[in-house]
Amino acid sequence: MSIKWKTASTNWFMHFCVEVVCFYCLYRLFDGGDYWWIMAISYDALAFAPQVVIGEFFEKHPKIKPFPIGGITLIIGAIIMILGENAGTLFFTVELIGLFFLTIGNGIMHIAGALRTLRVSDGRLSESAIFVGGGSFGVITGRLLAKSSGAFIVIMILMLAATILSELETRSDGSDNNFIKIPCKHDLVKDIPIAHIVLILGGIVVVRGYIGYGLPTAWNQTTIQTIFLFCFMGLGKMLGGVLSDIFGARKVGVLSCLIAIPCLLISNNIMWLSLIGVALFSMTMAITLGGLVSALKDKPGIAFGVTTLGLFLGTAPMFFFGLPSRMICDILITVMSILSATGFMYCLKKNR
Amino acid sequence: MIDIILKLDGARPFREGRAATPFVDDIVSNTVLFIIAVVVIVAIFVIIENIKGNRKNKNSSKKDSDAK
Repeated sequence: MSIKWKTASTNWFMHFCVEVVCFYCLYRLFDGGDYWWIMAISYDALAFAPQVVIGEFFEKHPKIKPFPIGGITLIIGAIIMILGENAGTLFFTVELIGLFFLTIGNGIMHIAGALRTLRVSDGRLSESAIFVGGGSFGVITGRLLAKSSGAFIVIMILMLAATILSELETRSDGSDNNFIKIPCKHDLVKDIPIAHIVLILGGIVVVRGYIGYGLPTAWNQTTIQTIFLFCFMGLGKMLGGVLSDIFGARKVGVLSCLIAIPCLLISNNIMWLSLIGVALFSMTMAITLGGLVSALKDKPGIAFGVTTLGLFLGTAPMFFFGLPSRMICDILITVMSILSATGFMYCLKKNR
Repeated sequence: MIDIILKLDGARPFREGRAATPFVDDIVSNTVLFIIAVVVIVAIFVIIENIKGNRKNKNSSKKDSDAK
């Protein structure tokens, strides 16, 4: 196993910067204010749900370069949103326009990173998992930087640098700058109907998105503890892919789901045990993505879009119904984790 | 206009993604919901079309290998 570190780290950095920009704008302009609910749900919906369509578009048009288009769209959106802060009565209208550009840019960058890491990885999950893991670090960094207005220029320079680096990286491996034509070699799933795999693995992502809000983290009271929480989420996502390549996706998927249950249930006030549970819980992300890519051969953009759509569908109920009681959350975590492990056993090959 | 509607509707905090206020029916919320529903339906449609396409490819490649 030889991970393509240049591809993985460049896309990690790109994903990190994308989330820093998005969460900086959201938290700087709306945190807890009148528009928070509507902007948060609009951001979730417009960034996550259309990635299937964006993925299909870039797969059908391999000559169009997603990194520069996505990066520039994102930067334009962020500038509109920050300038709109002083738009007076037009504030909400300007912010909605900015948010539209920001989310579409976000979606394009995610799809570009997924296409790049999945197609050049020779069937491994490590590259895409490392790419996905960058997001959690970016979310918490963006949230923390939101308190400083001067950080915006630094963030914009970083985003521009990430866009240029990502584009240059695609030209560095002799794939004639056309990486979207490189075939995916992932082969994790059994010979069962594709619809079953998409429904089960997509369902696991929905469940993960929903119970992710209900994880017991009463210990999380300070900023440094929140930083730990997000870092362990990111580490879990990255480790999920790396460990799958070493020990097999099925083994890692099933074990991480099952071991996460006791870690999460008894650790409401025990930070380190809870963090291990959160990391284990996050490991399934790369495995579901790998399974979906194996099923939807040569459609990694669609496969990645299924996971982001699943995440949106999983988080959407929170906007309308809030969180159930602690006891219901614990029951959900237990039942859904066991069902997820069963789903992995049904869909994934034994020796993979 | 939307600004006024939102102000009339009052603040709806959504702090830390952990607690949402009950859903209040109004024109902005409904418009947002409608757009989200359209986006989700289009995305699901694209997924179904791709599953169908992949199934056809799988069947035809199976037939090809059987014929060989």
